[in-house]
Amino acid sequence: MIRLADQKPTITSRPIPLRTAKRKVDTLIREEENDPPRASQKFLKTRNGFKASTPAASTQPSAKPEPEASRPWMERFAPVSISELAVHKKKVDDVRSWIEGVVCGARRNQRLLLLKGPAGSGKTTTVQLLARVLGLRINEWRNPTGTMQSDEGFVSMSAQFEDFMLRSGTFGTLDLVGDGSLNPKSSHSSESEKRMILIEEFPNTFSRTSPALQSFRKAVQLYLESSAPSPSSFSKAPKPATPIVMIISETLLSTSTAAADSFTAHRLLGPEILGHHAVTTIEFRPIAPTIMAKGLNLVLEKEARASGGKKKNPGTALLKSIAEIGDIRNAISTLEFYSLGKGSSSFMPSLPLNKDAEGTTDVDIRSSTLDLFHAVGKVIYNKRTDPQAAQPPPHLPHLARPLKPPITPDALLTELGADTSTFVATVHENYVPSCKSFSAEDELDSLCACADTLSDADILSPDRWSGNGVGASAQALRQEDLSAYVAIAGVSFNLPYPVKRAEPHGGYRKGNANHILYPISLRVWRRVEEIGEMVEQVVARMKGNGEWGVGLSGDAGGDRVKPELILERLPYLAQIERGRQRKAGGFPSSMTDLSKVVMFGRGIREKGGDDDEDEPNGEQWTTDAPDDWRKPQKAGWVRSKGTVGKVTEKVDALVLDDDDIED
Amino acid sequence: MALLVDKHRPRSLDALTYHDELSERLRALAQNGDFPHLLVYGPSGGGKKTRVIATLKELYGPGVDKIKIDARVFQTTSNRKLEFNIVSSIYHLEITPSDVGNYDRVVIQDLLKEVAQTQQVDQSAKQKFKVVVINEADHLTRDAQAALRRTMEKYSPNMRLILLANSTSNIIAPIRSRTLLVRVAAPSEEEICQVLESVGAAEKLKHVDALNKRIAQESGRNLRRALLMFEAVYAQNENINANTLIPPPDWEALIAQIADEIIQEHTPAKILQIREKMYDLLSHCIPASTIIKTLAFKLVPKISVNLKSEVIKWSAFYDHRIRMGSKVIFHLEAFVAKVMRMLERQA
Repeated sequence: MIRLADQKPTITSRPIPLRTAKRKVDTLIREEENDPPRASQKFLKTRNGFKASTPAASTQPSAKPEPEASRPWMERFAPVSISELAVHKKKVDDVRSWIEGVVCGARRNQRLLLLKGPAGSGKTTTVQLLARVLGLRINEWRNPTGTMQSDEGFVSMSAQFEDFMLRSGTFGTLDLVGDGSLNPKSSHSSESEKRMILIEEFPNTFSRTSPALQSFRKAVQLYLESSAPSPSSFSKAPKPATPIVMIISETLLSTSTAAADSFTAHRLLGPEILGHHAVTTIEFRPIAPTIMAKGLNLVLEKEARASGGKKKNPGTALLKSIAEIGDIRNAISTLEFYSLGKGSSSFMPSLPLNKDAEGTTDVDIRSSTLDLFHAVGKVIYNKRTDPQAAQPPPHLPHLARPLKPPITPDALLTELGADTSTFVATVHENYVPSCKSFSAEDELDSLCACADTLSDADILSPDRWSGNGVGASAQALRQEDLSAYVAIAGVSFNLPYPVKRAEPHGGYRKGNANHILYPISLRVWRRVEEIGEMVEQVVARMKGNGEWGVGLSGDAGGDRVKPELILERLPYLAQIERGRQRKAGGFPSSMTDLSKVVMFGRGIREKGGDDDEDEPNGEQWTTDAPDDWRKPQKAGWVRSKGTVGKVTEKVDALVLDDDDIED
Repeated sequence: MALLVDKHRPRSLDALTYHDELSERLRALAQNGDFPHLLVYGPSGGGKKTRVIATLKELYGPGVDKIKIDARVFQTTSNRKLEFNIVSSIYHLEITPSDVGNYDRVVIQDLLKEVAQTQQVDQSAKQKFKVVVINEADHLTRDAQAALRRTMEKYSPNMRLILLANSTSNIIAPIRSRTLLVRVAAPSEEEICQVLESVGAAEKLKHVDALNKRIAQESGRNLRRALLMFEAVYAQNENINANTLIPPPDWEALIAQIADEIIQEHTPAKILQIREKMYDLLSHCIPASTIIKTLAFKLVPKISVNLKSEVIKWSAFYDHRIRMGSKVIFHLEAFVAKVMRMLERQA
């Protein structure tokens, strides 16, 4: 099951600024030194990248109990060593070996590590702890609060960033940490120190053409070009340069406008940087319940030690349900919230601690995703219990339904936690197996009618481009409700009763038919965007090589992918290239992008799983016998079966048990 | 190594092979001195652009071949910056305003005004005016078209417009009345065969008459497509004969496969499999309208006579919905379900 990663904490009882977690150590030191950062300091640095020899005493919670007692748990009891880290060991090892490799020489040609994953999966903590163990100093970029007035006058944020990259990169061996840049004499002692650049804050990415984003990309690219050796000059050992670690919390800010304003690595960096040879991507996943449970226990133990009381026991059921949140930051604050009882050692007595997980839904912030699936379950399981009062006239017997659902669409909509368009999309994703009926004809009738009502619902949904004018947003809200109403009423009217969810044979969804899936349709845009950019790249390269004549020159560029290109030119170009390559017997080098654009069979689900790890397309041209070209498509589908299967398994593995809604 | 379709594109009116009468008239128009605004329309792959470029050459001489590409930045009223590519020679420039979507009006206004206010630099130029070629004129927003109409009247001494469109139906009446409408019909199959033959001869490829005929047939009278198919066939096969397979583009093959699956099996499980393939197509930027159209045309030859009209009707119905709605997959799937039910009922 795919989690909605967009739920930001909305709990009001105790607002917890997320960023404070990351500044914790920083502020701690400042408190000690009683030396607030200068207001004009250009780049704020964290000082938590201690040398391994430096005792990390200041981070011990016991050292300063008084000011710390008022801090939230997740700050006070943050992991202090790698062994305490609630991240899968292999991930940590991956990151560690990369950093070690770059700094110590094994991977001299790598420069940029991209850590991506949902919020609260331990990315930042991992990097900071590793930096401490490896003795690296972290040089962190923070978005300035505004444009700064410097001596030269107005300096935009992007210019400041370029400056930062240039300095940290080009003068890689100089120490810029602390006051070093202002007072060069004091930096002599630490000149040999190894450093690492950490970038966690980025320019906004609302539009692909925004100048801030462009200059951000340019700065990163410049850094890669200038410091990374090309793979061909492998043999001569380059001097070790400062690696960059970027931490990207990928989010879908809102599902209905997903395409417009979500934040992804791809949108931020673009294909050119992501495909660069000096860039490595490691993806973090939501923290697994077992590891999370261990982490939570550790927090509880630390809490007991700090407060001097005995360990609080929240009960296994509560702990289990909290552990399934997947976001450790969120989980710990939830845990802390529950611990705020009257007695110091007991959890809130009013809460049904040993009841099943449902008891926590009021407080558990992330639970609105469960609510989405629960609501969808109510529709697609179509429980009908109440007698229907009004019946259609006798000449319309096929519209008669003796029973009606106990819940009206209105009531369901009011209770719905997610936005309606996500809801409708999820109903669409999951209604098909519910249509199972005794006769094939009934089954198809119900299926067809459901598909039709969903199509109706979509027509009724507001068009997000035309919404301007007085009161348009209020109208749009109303319209969205109507659209969802049509979808709910239509689907529940047309589904058979009782519903027997049937396992679709040979479909892409393996496993239990009872699983409710998050709609793929809301994630297609990401792939569309990638392919679109890839097309642009291919076209630009071909034009650069002079491979295409003038005829095309006017036809490329802009935000939109030209249908003519994608429907005619590129597919045939790929075929022509294939033929040439095969005749020449050479290995197609420039073809991978092109083939990605025109080849099918890589299921969309793959996108939901891991990123492109499989690139069999490249070899495929050379290994195939000429006859196979008769059915290039078939080959595509068969070839990818393995990976699709693998991914489906992965998706299934992510399905939480709670999502199986049984009625 | 340019593609054949680019390499053998005719550069002058003389070199054009079909619609001779039209070419002659264009030549007369260019030599006459009083060149009107043109609206050139016709199906894709019919040679509109080629004709326009050849006409420009007739107007100005070889200078129009020396082109450069500029990226210009425009600023909208909301301070958004738009980057926009312009292809230009000293005599003309070529733009695709629909690239910038809803902001095309800004581009049209600013750019055309700028062009119109400057005189022809080259004193020895044959014509006093510059020409602006606007691609995909039928994708212009209403606002942009209205802006265009004002510009046409105001600046006609210094500038002429040539609009290119697939059909005139999306172009507002005031513009249609201010332009000379030129229809470029798709070439007939024989004409495509002739082109293939001459290109094949120039490239010293083996001539197979029957194969050329088949290519012309399968191209749907789209010359660009025919040439691309032609080159693909020759690039992939050593021995060319009349029965050499002409591979369709991958997306089309996938849609054909979907059509077969719809006909073979009418179950919910199949719907789910088809949905997966639809997602695959959509994620590769294949427009939903193209999918539903192609699917309908692949289905029609394979079903019984009394269902054909129904399939066409429903494909038109859902195509309309695709344009109106936002979640295209809903409508594609509803179409598939509808066809399956019709087939099942008949079986």
